[in-house]
Amino acid sequence: MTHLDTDSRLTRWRWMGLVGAALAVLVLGFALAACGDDEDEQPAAAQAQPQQEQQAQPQAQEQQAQPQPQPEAQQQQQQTANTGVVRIGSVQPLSGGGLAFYGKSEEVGLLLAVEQINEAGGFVVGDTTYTIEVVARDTRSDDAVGIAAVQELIRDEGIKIIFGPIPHGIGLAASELTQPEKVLHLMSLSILTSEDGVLNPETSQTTHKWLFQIEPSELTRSTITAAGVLELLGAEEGDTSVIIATDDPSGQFLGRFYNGVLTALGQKTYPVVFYPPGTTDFTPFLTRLKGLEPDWMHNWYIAADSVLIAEQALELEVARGYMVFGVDPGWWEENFPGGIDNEAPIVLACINLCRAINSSERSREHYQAVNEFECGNPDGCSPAPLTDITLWQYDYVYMLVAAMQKAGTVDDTTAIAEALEGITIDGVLSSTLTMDPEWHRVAHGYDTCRVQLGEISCTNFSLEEYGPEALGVTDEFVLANQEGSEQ
Amino acid sequence: MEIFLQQVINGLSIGAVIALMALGVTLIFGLTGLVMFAHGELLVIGGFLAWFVTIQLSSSFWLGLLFAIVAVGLIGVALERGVFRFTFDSPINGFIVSLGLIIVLQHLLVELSPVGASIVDLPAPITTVFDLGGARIPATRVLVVGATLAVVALMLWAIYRSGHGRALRASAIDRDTAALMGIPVRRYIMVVFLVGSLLAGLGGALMIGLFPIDPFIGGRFVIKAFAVALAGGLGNPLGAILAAFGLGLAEAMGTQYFQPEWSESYAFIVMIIILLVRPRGLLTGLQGPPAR
Repeated sequence: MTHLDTDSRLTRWRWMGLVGAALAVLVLGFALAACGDDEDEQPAAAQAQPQQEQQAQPQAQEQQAQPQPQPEAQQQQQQTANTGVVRIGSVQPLSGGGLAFYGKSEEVGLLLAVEQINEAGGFVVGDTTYTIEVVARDTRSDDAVGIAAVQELIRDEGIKIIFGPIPHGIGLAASELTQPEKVLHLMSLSILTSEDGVLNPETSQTTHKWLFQIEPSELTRSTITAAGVLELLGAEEGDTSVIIATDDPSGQFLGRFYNGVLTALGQKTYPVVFYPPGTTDFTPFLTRLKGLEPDWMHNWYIAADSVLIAEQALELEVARGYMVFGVDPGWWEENFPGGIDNEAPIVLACINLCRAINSSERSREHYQAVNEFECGNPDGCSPAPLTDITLWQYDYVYMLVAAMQKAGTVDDTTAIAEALEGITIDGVLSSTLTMDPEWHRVAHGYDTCRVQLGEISCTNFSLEEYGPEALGVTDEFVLANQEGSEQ
Repeated sequence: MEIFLQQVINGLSIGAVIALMALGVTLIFGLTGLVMFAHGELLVIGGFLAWFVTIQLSSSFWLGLLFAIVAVGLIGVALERGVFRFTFDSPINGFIVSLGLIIVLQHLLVELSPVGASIVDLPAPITTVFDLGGARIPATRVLVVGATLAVVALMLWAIYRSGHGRALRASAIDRDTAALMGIPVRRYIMVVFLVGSLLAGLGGALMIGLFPIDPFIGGRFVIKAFAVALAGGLGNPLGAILAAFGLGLAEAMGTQYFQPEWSESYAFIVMIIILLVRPRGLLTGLQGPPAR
């Protein structure tokens, strides 16, 4: 055998190897692309579980537009010959970190409402019966991916109604894409109507007419949450409260605002301690807080972080009691490493209503439906979910349908936006869930739970008794005191 | 004073996991010139295996720890035998391969893990908390720091005092000459991969006793490991250890006495200054074997 023979054989083998590798890469690429399509573009109906509880559906108030599907007999009478499909975009973080807990929960709320509406035969607008199709996208907890998804939904899919995304930074950016295109955009982000937000009584009638904040103002949320937390902790005026929060736009906004509210409620406060996103060892931050000799420690805003922070704070004995944001009592009871026998009180601030322990019959029915939808067991899912914010979407799908019926159109987003202004539905979050016509936002109470010595009890703190008006907390004072009383 | 003491303890425990990583990184670089960025994924695999044995198989943490160390060590050897040995003549190729491995290993972790991309957590193996002059010291952190110091001491003794260590250092300085002198350099390379991976497995298993991990957390640690390996002098194990504990203390003290949200930056600012003042690191590292 000559060198030439050897070289030529080697060359042939190399080429065959290269071609083989290229083919393998191509096949793998197509396979991945096919998998990605399935995952990203699966409509809601295909993802949903079949059996649903119907009792939990919000009822439209009589004086308002009739939004939701009727019982079957009535439905059949109302069915029209024409049928249509309303396509709704959903953009949420479904993977890629702690935010995915929130994103998945929001999407479940949306899909549950859509399935209930579709299974009841849809809803009637004019002479057409419509069902809803959800076109879902995952931001992967990456702002750039999320913005690209919003763009794609608008430009390529022609979607005219979008729910999400969270958190605050990407939400604000996304609104800048949707509003020029008159896309109806509903987001559970309190920053939208804040000082740094884009929604106010002027813009809601002009540049951001199609943008709606499906969450109370931060003043309302923070005031009710803080008042409830302080009451359950047993805090007194003049006690010292400290806050630890994620160092991202949401954490900075929420943490500082809450600090201002705590100050307004008579707590001695210090500047918020922020930790970099992705932190897992919080002990240096907690040690710094411990040095301030606090009575109470509050943490915002990622539930998965909150659990870890609470665990490490208990070890270090940072304060006399702790507020943990966003963790459901069911998860806490089942999974918190320290159990529920803690002597220092721990208060769980549910993001709206708690899932495992319900403060009303209405929310109990809703969460039975959510459990049935997620795991087929109305009594609860195992493992218990870390957090639940299904209600940040669920009620608003019904509100949207009510607005479409009131406007008499599913296409004209301007008419639907105008119909949304001032609309009231009998929702799970509130029996008079109303979209403020000027601010394009809603208002309702929050659930908060106390965990101590083997017991968990949850209370609903209402807008009427614990809201900013009732407690005399104002935006001006809060904004002026975000750095705390002891700077 | 108790707060200062508490931050010292916090800093040492942060530094311990980084030290285990950095030791592996610096040993592999010293002998092969390979910048092994996938080392962070070995750490994560160690954590996941410890979690799998402890939680999924309802076994003890200690068995999980042992399993993680052995399994990750074997994975390291398999990677050396099956992948990296073909790149030793061109370390840049090895570097690119290690970047690719990061993605592959992350996806494998997501696919093979029963919880996909979710976070996995392990109850602290020891729940006792000591009180030292007001400073609260969880026993798990004592375990992490103690185990790290013991392993590091053993490694340093082996490298600087034993015959094999002398051969290893000779190979790191000049592979060809060492080979001509009869040192089985290829075998030492495999051993270095084995040891580096064992340390990563140990680090991962200890880490998950402190806090939860997810499949993508490796990058965060490997960057710190490389930073300390560079600052300590790439290829210099003692330098890497000192720099790792220095980084941990800088993070903890930066959090206490400066803006806490910048905590990770303080350590890297110190690293940058060290490299500007002493380009070959604190204790003068190697440049690594020349590419051939």
